[in-house]
This record gives sequence, structure tokens and C-alpha cells, in this order.
Amino acid sequence: MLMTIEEAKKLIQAGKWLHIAGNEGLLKALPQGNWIGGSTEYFMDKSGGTVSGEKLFVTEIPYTTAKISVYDEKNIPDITSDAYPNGFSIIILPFDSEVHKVYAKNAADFKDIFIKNIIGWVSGLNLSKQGQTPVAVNGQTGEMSKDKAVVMHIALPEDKIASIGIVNIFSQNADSPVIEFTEDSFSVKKCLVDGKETVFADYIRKNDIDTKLPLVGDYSGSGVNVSIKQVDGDTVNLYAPVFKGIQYRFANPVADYASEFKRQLDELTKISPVFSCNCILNFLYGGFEGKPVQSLFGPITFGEVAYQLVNQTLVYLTVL
Amino acid sequence: MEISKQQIRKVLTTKCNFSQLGLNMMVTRLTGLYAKDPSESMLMKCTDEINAFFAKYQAIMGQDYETISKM
Repeated sequence: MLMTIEEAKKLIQAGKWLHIAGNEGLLKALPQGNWIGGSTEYFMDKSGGTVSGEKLFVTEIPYTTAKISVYDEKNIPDITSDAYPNGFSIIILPFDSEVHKVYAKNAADFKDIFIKNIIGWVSGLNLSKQGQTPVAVNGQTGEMSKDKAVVMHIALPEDKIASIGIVNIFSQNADSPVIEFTEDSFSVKKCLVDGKETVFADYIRKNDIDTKLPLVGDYSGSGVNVSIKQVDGDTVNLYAPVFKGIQYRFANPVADYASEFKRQLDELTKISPVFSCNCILNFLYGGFEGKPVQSLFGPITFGEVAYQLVNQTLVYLTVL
Repeated sequence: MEISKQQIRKVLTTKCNFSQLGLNMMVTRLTGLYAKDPSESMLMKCTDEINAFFAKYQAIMGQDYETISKM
């Protein structure tokens, strides 16, 4: 929940295991303790979407066996071996850092990635303010980093299991051709449109594609989004990598972004997630500032992790 | 909840939809690996990985196990 820095300090001093999201300066001012943090000034709370540099979104982890690890782009594959055999891990990756890029491109190949429950987010900044840097913080040491990922590994009792889910309002548009890529990349020039080599930027321009709509990859029944960052000349820059071998189509248009999102959230009011976060693009395109939702509160983020990096998606973790 | 090698081969070579996100992502990755290397040893590796997933998450895998059983 959203709280003042003084309220957050009390929880830290009580020895709680905490996940904290907020302004970089506020995170820096927190005392050392059992917490990890990441920068964002966008949140979804009971009162609705909120933009604040004065409050922190604090999630109390209701388990007592946990540890914090820090990873760079070289040792990030160790995240799965460091995770508890039965538990879950919350990762915070600073936006545009090498570790963010390496995780995005390679996480699916990390040993046991889908056996361990890794959820998390990409930290960011206030898009209207100058001079901020996306960071992740190890609260135990006070180390604040713009180029390292911070992870809290949490163990669960033997009779419990964690489960990761997503809320994705997008689905593949059956009228869109199948779009494939010949390499794994955040930045694309050419693609195959129904098997024919095409300049992807030209395809988007010629077909007047709404770039608020993501590409949706077909993952055996789950749609995994890749959002368009920018079409720049003959290059399309993306918020997550596209992968060779995955069949993408552009998403079906959504008539009312906020209503569709709310409809899907309303179906999940009975679950009690331990952690959730939602994408800045959903927040902005859905116009969520000031609009209340019933459940799945958390930070608004610059990329989401549900095992792998995903985009334009709300991710959540429940313990059963 | 053991899945045979023959069933896994079907999973990796047939378009299928499961309910669990982690399984969907795993199957997608393994389908790509098996398409590149359709050997017996790769099939065994995929069989072991998918069975490890079902063993760990047995309590929530009933629907997906049924999907595979019907294939």
C-alpha cells in the first residue's frame, strides 16, 4: 500500500521483509533493513492510479525465510540456482541497464527458470521530470544501483506453492498476418510478414498500425506482448526483445482500454496476490490516474517479469 | 501425473494451449529446441523438464494434464 516515508521506516525497523517502490531520493533516505526497492513514481492503489514523488508503495512479504541477492549482466543466470527450491523471487531490473537487456534476451534459457517462480519489474522514472535515474536498491546494504538487478528470494512452507499469473487485455488479431523475426532483438529492421521479408518499419507505416497496440507472441495459449517504443526511420525499437521462432501478430484493437482492463481485474477480485505490478503503458494508455480499481495494487513499471520479461501486462503472484 | 515420451513428442509437435503461464512458456521454448534438434536425447531432456514442472505444481496441473491425456 502507499505510505509515507515515516510509515515505511517503522516497518523496516520492525524487521519486516518488504518490497518498496518509489522515488529514488525517498529510497535513498530509508534505513537499512530487510527490503529491496526500485524507482517509479507511478502506482496503483485502492484510491486509484497515483503519481507521487512523496509516497512509497510498500508490499509486506508475509514469510520469514528470505534473502537478498544482487546480480550484474554476468551472473544473472545464477538467479535460478540461488532461488529457494520451493518459493518465489522478486526481481527489480533498472531500465536500459545491461542486466535488463541480458535478462530480457536470455531468461528463457536460464536453468529451471520455469520451475522457480520469478516475478518482478523494470524500474523507471517520472516521465515528466528531468534528472532521474532508474535504480534498484539492496536495503540490507543500502547499495543503490543503476546497473545491477536486486532480487529478494523468499522460501515458502512445504505445503504451499507459488503461482504466477498475468492480466493481458490484448490478444492476437486473426486478421493480422503472422510476423516473425530472424534474430532475438530489441531493435528490428527486417521481419517476415507471412513468410515474406519486409522492412518492419515500412509495414507499420504502410498499414497505419496503431503502435499503442503491442505485438502479441503466441506462447502455447498465452499471449506475450512486445510493445513498440519508437519507429525511427527503417528501425523499430521495442520495449522487450522479439524472439526468433515465435509467431507474432499485432493485437486486436481495444475499444475502451480502461474498461477492458477493469473488466479483467474484476474477474480476479477473489485472489489475494502476494505481489503485483502493472505496466506504465497500461497506466498511460488506459488513463488510470485517479481511476480506482478493486484489486491487484502495486507499482506501475517500465517492463514486467513473469518468468521472462513481458510488456503492457499486469503480473501477479499468488501463494496457494 | 507422469507424462510419457510419446505424449511429450505430441506436445512439442502439435499446436496446443495450456492454462498455466509457466507451462506455456516452457513448452514454447522446448518446442523451439526440439524443432532444431529432433533427437532422442533432446526428447528425453524435454520429457524430464515437463515432468519436473508437473511434479512440482501437481496441485494446480489437473486441467493441463487432462489436455495432454486427450492428445
